[in-house]
Amino acid sequence: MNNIEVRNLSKEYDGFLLDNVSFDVPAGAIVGLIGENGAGKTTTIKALFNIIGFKGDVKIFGKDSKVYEKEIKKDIGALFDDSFLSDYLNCKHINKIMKDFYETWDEKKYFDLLKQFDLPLNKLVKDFSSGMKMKVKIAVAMAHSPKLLILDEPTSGLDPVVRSEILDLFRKYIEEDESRSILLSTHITTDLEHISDYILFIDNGKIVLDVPTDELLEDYGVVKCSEEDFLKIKAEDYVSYKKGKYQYAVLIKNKNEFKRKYGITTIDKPSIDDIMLFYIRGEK
Amino acid sequence: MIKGLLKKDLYNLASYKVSLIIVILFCSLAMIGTDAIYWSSIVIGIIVGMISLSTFNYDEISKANKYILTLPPTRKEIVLEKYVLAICSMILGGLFGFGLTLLVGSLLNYLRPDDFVDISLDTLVSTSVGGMFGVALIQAIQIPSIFKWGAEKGRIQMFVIILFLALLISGIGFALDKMGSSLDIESLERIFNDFGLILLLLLSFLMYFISYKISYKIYKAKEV
Amino acid sequence: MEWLGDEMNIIITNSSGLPIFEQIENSIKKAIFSNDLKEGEMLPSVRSLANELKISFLTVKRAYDELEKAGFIKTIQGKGSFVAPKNLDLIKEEKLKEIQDYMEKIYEITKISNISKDEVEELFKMIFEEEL
Repeated sequence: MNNIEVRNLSKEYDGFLLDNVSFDVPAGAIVGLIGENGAGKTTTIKALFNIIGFKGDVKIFGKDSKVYEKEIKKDIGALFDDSFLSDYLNCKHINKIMKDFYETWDEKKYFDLLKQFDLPLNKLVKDFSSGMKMKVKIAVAMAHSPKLLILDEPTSGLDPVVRSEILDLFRKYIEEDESRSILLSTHITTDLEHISDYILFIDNGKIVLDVPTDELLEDYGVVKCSEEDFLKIKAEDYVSYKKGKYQYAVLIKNKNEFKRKYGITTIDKPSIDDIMLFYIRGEK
Repeated sequence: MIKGLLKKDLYNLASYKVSLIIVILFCSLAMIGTDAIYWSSIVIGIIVGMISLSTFNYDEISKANKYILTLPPTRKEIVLEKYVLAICSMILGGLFGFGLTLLVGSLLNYLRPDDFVDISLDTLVSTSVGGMFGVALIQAIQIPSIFKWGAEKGRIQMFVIILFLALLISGIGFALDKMGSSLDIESLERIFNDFGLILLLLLSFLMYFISYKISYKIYKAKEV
Repeated sequence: MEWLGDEMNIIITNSSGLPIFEQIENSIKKAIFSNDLKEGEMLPSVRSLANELKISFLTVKRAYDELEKAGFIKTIQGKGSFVAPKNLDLIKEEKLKEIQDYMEKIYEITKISNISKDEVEELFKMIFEEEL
């Protein structure tokens, strides 16, 4: 069962093309959407909510997102880094407003989260620090216990301690009910190493990678070798390479297979950032 | 759904209630007790009636549109809510203009009996309804254009509209003057009496309705 | 490092060079060999272990799948995973694999330092004969 199914999603702006994007967000999974600024992450998320028009099919909870828009939105919690209900509200106002939008709004859960985050109830959101603002948004997104969380940069502006607290919260949210899913876009890919089950890497409007995080971290490798050794590697056995002054760095998809085939044993474990860089800047 | 959106806008407006009260009090004091007493009901009516438009500014500052579209309210409800708010503030403006002018006028007459200004209720009703019609006209033009171009450009447009209306009215006044009549409250009242206040109100709602249809058409396809 | 209950340690480090799923696998095997995890005992659920270790549930699932394939545990759909009855062949195989790992290390050293196979064999015989 997939909570989100996107097929051939395309969107053209002046000078930008989101090109035939297809992906799934399975139930029980946390999917991390990564990519450079302007690669198409936010455009993809906007399309899921019909905030922008698009070509292609989007199914959420198995239903067409355009036909069943209202019904679907009742079961989603959303967050944007740069957009909120209003900055001229305090947390109590927000509670009264959100109650009217969601039948499943859980006042107790909302105030418990605010308390956990140490947020003041009577201060206007505009006077909050950026970290506090983000926490309010997270509390608001989760308080109606939605089936799906779609979060655009939910950890930006948060310090490491709070970030880890939030990631725990997300993990618990899935553990509570494994039919739920989270789709989150982020710049901070180290967060994803600890939380995401799948990585969706979007570059220049195209999906270049859609793999289990596990596979990315365990199977992908970076081989450092001499030019002589590099020339022996067949093109189909590596993703891309970077040529340095003294060595070649080569990104490969399967460490073990590579070891067996080429006998090269010094293979580094790349971070998600490393892998992104190889895809964006590496040569083929 | 609309209720939640209304609450959001009302909370937003509540954050600037103090400056609003000051403006209203200043206007009423400045105008009431002079010969222009009936104009004060129009001015107050327009100031109060226009408040609803500033909710668009709040939305813009918080970049709320994107987020609101992730919530259950439909685009239709989002547009409708702005019109509910607009009509409410128009009516509120009329009542305020009427009530405040009557209240402060009577109070001044009581305090300064030698400088007595005669307040005719009929005339006051006419001017208040006239003010409401003005609000309806401006809002009916403004709201679709704000949905289309945003609140910032909308504000500039509002000044242009008001300027245009002022020119139009003085133009009519000039024409009437040429024809041997003059634009004073009595002739305004005569026009209203001829048309009927009810008709004027109906016309207001018709303008709102057409404006709503246009706004919805704009916002239905709007990308934020 | 994480502490799970009284009977089992699962230690995950980034410096070991082993994939995380393999580290989990080895920790559980170790617990089974040392009888810290007894036959029929239930393992933590995939999800809760993943949350505890702050890793993807797919990683834990991979470890459990490997353990099941190797016959160490049995997963019953909807109930959970349990330690399978001990199997002597399995243990022997496991130990042989461990020896193989060491051998590979020896092989690498010999390659780097240009030590011949005969020299290593000689050394190995010596160790065995010392025992006798």
